[in-house]
Amino acid sequence: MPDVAIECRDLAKSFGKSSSALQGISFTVARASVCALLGHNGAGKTTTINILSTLLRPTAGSATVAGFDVERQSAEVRSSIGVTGQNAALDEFLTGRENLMLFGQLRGLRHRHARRRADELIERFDMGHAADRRVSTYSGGMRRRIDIAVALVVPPRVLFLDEPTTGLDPRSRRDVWDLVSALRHQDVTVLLTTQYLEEADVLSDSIIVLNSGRVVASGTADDLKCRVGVSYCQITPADPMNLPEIATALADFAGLGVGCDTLIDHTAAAVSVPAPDGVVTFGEVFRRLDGLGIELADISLRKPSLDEAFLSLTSPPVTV
Amino acid sequence: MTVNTAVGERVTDEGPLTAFVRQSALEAGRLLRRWRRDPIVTVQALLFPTFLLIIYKLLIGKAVLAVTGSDSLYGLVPMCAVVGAIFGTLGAGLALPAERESGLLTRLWVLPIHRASSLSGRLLAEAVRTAASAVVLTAFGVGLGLRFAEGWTAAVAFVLVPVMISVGVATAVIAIAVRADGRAMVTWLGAGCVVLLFFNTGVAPAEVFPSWLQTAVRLQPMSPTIEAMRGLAEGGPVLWPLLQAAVWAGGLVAVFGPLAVRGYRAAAEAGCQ
Amino acid sequence: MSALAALTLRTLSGTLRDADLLFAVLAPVGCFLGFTLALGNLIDTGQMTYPQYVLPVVIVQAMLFGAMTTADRAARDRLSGFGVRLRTLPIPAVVPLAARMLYCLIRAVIALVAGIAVASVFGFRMAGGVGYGVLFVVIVLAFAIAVCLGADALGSRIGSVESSSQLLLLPQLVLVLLSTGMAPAELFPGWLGPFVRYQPVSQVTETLRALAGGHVTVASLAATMAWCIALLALFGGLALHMQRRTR
Repeated sequence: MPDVAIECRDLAKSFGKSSSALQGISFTVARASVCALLGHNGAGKTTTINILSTLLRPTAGSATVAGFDVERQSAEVRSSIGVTGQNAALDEFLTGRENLMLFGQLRGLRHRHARRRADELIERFDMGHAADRRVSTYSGGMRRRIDIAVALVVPPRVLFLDEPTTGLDPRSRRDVWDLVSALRHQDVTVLLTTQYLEEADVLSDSIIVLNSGRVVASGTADDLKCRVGVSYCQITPADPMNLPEIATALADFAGLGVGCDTLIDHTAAAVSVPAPDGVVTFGEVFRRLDGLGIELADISLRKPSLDEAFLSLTSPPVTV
Repeated sequence: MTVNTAVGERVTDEGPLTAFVRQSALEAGRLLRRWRRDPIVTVQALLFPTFLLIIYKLLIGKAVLAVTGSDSLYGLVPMCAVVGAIFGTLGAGLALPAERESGLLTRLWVLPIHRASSLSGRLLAEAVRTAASAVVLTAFGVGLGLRFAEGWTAAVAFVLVPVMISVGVATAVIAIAVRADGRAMVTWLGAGCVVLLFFNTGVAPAEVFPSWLQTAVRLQPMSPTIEAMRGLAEGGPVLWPLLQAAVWAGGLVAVFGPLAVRGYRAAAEAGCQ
Repeated sequence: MSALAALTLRTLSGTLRDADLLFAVLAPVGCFLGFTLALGNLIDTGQMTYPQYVLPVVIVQAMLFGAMTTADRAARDRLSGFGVRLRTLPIPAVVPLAARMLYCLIRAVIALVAGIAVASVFGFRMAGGVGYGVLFVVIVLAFAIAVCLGADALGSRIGSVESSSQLLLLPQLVLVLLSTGMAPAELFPGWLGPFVRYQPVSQVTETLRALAGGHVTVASLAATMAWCIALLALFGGLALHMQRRTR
């Protein structure tokens, strides 16, 4: 398999004459990496995944997955991918184990091996107590676990996860994150969509931001944050009454012609100072404050949040 | 922990035909397992026709004997076998909208399997279920007094005849159930089939119906199937009614087959929004 | 009072969506045609024409169908998010039940009218006069409410929408088809006679047929009334019990 696991070139898709879900998107995802597609509902994330998993045909442009063209070599693409959707797509009347075996056999495993594989996955996903109960009796977290296990029953080259942790409790979410991170070391490329910026921040090697069917930004989480703003230093005194004093001491960091009062964030009860030189600025700030002798509750160097990056890059969803 | 498996365990060395057959068998197995656990299908495919057989025998057994001279079982057992086939298919069809909504159809669609195997597997499952319930009903019938005048081969053919009409009806039900309004449409179709339940030649010979109804009663898909089975059990014309039944089954498949294929694909593509 | 009206209207509009009222009309019409045309020339009912003979059991069948859909609705009301919310409102627990029964009543009237209408086309006549007619209607509606209450209790208890109505299908089949509503008792095998003669559906249809004919014995009228009242009391109690909020 080539080093590029997924490649899209000017991919476009419209449903009917009026609505176009995708208006020419291009991106690449490197092999054995995790890439997150970010965007509002309706931005085109699910449509992109559907095209890449050969469910839909693009109206224009091309895409390759694991080196195979999605239109002309769709059978090979299907042999190389695993997909999970927003709902757990399982047969509700079968047990978890039966679902795993069914999909294993459909993917080409012999009965014996499918059973062994199902046992493996049940143990790995810690589902032993529920594996022989019908899926309709499962909780949301268990259902999602089996869903992902089914997608992995024969390890794919590329795994598509559509909003994998929506609705899960924090522990289950952590489990999924751990799993996705581990996949990297097994030469599996993951493309996931999410609305949780934290998830994209923590998990992904690269992020692609979609808005209204277009790519508005791509890069690592850090790249995106830097695009939007600069690091800053946040100082929280133990006593909010000290805020003006701190602001005065750091007044020159505010920039020419800007009053030092702008540095004060009253809601957070903190002073925020731009730190263009990163740690060097931080060191300077710390030295000055040390000299003042004010008791501090917190002092930190922060990058702009991915929230801010996302909000500034995308327009709010159109309310219908 | 790794999630990898050795490549050698894959079945990579089978031809496309073998693969197709195996995949169809897997889909059929899944559906049969599911139907066994689904109360609607069990009731409609097995319990309802069995009850119907026993009850009708008690209700009109004497009357039919008086009017026609032969045991009512020779019409009732075939009728109930066909009823089980049709209503079992309807019950199974009710499950399709749920599979569509949950995205199961979508997931099956993007597997590296022959895309026709989903449908062929489903039809195979319908056939197996129909044959199985026909065997059960025939056993009950024999217990109530049914006898095969034409021997063992006729008995085997007897339980296989309803399979033909079941495949035709299943194609139609699939085509209807995969639509977005599938659940409602299948319910309406069920209501229509209840009408068929009354107006067929299994309960009473066609002459008993008012004259303006007799042609319709003779021609509706259940009647030729019933007559063919009656001929196999009791003796009498088999080929002509069998041919009529085959025409019905073939016609349903020809008309609804393409619709089923197209609808299935549309359902798979729609199920992931 | 307005809560009752609101909930009844909601039930009504819900059923408009799944054409339940249309089924309420089609079921008795279909059953009547089916029985009359298929079995009419087969079953010997002596002096009476088969349409005149079979109408009461068609009406009873229609009421039982109505009960099946009630079980569905009760199960849905119990399990769905809407039902859970209803239980937290400051309305008496009996109100949702009453709303469902009010709908049942409306449905029963519609089915009754449809049944009599189609039977009239085939020669059915209510020969008894107004008094007997009124008694006819009262018994039918009392029976309908009683079985609906029973089905409601079952639906609220069982907890799975599909299973509850399926469960009711089979007993209904037995009770309706193995009754003197379909054929005189002599036509059934001897050993079945007692069951056929004395089961509640037979009792009710005998009385209804007699009322339609204009001459009813006090004994059978009393027996039928007793059945209806007993069922109303029993099922009503069960249904109310099922509406308890706490378990």
